[in-house]
Amino acid sequence: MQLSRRKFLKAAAAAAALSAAGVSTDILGLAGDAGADPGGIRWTKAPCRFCGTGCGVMIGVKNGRIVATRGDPQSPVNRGLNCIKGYFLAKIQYGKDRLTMPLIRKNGGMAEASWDEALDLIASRYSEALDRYGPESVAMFGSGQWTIWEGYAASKFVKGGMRSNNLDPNARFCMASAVAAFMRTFGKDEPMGCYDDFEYADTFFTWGANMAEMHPILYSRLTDRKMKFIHVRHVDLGTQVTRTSSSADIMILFKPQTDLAVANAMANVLISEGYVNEEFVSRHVAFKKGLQDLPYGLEINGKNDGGAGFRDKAGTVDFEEYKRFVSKYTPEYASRLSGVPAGKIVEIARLFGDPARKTLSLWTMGMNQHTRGVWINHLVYNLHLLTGKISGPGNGPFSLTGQPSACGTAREVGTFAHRLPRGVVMNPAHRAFAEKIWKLPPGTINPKPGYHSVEMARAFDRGDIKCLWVMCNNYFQALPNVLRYRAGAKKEGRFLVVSDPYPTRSTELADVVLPTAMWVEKAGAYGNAERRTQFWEKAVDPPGESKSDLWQIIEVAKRMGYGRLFEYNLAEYDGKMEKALFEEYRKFGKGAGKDLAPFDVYSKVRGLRWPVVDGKETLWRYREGYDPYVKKGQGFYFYGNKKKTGGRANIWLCPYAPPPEQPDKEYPLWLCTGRVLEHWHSGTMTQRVPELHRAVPEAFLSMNADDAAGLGIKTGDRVRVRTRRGEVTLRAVIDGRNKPQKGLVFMPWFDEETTRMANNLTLDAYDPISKQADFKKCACRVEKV
Amino acid sequence: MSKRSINILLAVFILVLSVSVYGCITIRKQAATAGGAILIPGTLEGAPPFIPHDVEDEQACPDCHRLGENEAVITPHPDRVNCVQCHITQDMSVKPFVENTF
Repeated sequence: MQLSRRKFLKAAAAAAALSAAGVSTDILGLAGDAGADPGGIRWTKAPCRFCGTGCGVMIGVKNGRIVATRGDPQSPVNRGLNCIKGYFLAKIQYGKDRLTMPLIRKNGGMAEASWDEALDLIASRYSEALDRYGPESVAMFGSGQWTIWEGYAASKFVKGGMRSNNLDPNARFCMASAVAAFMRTFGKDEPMGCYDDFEYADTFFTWGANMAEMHPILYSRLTDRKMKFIHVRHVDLGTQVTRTSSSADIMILFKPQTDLAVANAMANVLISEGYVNEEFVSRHVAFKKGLQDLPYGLEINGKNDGGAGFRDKAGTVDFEEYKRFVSKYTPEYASRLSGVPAGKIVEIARLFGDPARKTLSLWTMGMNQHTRGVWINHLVYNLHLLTGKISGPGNGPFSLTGQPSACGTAREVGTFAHRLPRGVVMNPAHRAFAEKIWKLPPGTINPKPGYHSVEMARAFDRGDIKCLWVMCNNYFQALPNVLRYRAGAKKEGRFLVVSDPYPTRSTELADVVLPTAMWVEKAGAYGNAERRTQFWEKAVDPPGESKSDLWQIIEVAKRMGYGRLFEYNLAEYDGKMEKALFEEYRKFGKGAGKDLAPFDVYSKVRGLRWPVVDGKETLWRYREGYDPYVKKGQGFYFYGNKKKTGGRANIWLCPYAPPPEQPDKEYPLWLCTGRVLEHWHSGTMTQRVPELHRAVPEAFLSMNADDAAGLGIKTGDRVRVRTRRGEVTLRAVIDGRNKPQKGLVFMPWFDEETTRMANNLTLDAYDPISKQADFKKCACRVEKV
Repeated sequence: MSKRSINILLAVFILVLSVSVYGCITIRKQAATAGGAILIPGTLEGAPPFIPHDVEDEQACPDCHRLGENEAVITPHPDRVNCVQCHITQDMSVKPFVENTF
């Protein structure tokens, strides 16, 4: 750690010297403007296909094929820079094994079929299940990689057509805990700030977030800020030392799950040492306490522990009760639980609270994939609310997202089992509002929430769901405890449809596989983590008979008799179904804090951050002078809570609670799963890029040097990792890019080789509030093979 | 001179630099592996050059690439500190996952 820090400073000094000399360091700014260049290459813009950062790329097309991609210098997100995945975007559509024809399972094998045959089969099986077993027997598992109109069409088809709420996205695995906590705290989802915060913050807190690999471009903005301004500090909290730790001034290694205690202890220090912004708290904050003893979403002897249908019961408390609550979390108590020296907790709390410094908190899966993910999200918001460090340049809790449209599609359109494009299915007014826009008879939308991700797999396993359509994601590699659910999908009487551009661990289980147009083979729109909605035009034709998810959804809907849901006078929309759907979808957010610009505007701009009111985007929500919903004199106004608390944000009393499975004699180590820079999610796209594959050809096991020595394991040795669910065999890496704390091992999940699939091992416990699974913590045993 | 031609010139300069320094690093790699060096193919246009040697400490890149010590390529952008965000190694002994028709 010491060494890395020194090197970081050396590089910083070099950079400062160069910029003082006026030397341009922009050698990568090769990207041209949109249009044709002399080589006959036509350039068009698109957001990157991978993470939620939403970098802009320019795509060069010649003779109907992508011939190059470049960072878009006009994109305010990445300013021409890409990460290594972004530089190889040109290749993701050209894996040789692209699916080009629909496939139907016949006599144990997969046979090519026509679209009519495949679509008729899907429609008839879904209709039959609806007739015989009702709307709870059909389901769709979608994606934060869907374009906005694909998610919108899916919601309309499942909720407005089939009257089922069994629609959930893989975003449930990704940021549901952040969503639930944003909703419970502010009454509205998504960060209040934007990426401009990176250039204003004085102190960065990364909470279990390896941004250097997962959000590299944003990490560049963090390090740029840090190098240019010597006073900037970075505190990295996590269970392992990562590439992100190299820029950290303070590294906080805590035992898994004890972030709950550390954050509460920080709040305790803020209060006891006078860092509370009393004026902000008295005007803008309310205090809430929910149930304190929650289930874990586990099935014990086939019976759910209560997590599946869990609803929290919350009451209002006051500041004094909150103070008493956190007083238990002394730095010493938190230290005993977490292993973090008490002095360090005090030090970072003071740094956080320093009224002269702007503080930005950043996190992704470390906090969200957590059986108490909503709580840890709350506990971090609490720190920002106590100090009033929120909703202004450089100040705020900023949850990053892992998918390109986790925000734009999954969260904003609301493709969750309980959601509608505006509000929730349980609320009669919200249902009526959707029914009006969708021109449906009152009472059409089902008021009962559907199955959420893990429970959807369990219901398919049990046979309560008969038909499942997986779209734009790799459910049967991504699920925790995946071996159980893979076996479930193979059972008799299950009808599984998978739409994908490539063969995957999910398509191999399917009864029908639909070849799917990807990324710029269709027109699309994504929304990134800073509320920026970005459009792209179709750049090339998809291979063979591949069709977009949007086309597939509408064609099945038509065949099931829901065609009227997608009947528009397309002449009014330049002949574009995408435009018709987007203009209709826009009505849901208008005047409700989620105003979007007209369709045509987005074709011209490098995205806009909603709410877009009177043509102007919003950089910081809830703050006078930045947010058009906040009136003069209000200062701050958390209007999502207008009805409930008169526009105050909520501080929540959330205790430490142990994880459901912890290391013991038989399984003595913690297992944490995650990702690497070079691969994205289940590796379906990135493994097909030879350069990325050659950089990281297979999943590996990162080990702590002491643990490895104790087991006689050296880098390169083959090791078997076992949990109560399954096993994998990997090569060990010691002192590699991840340096886990003693007692913890780490492996990435991109690898689809069945003997190296991370989810053979993981536990399918989830946060009972957000229903997000915890892929970061279970007990394992490692042995040399 | 337009910005574009400056950029192109710069790119060519870096390419030449990469190629000329490539040899010495290959030798180092060759010495380290009994099987001899395997040529790493060129990267995509506009993409950053690969790292043609083993990396022991990925935080240590600036030690050589900042000022060109040990005959290393001098980085044209020392302000970017997370080198391995864009520059990756290539293990040419790896079997392709699937052929790519790009």
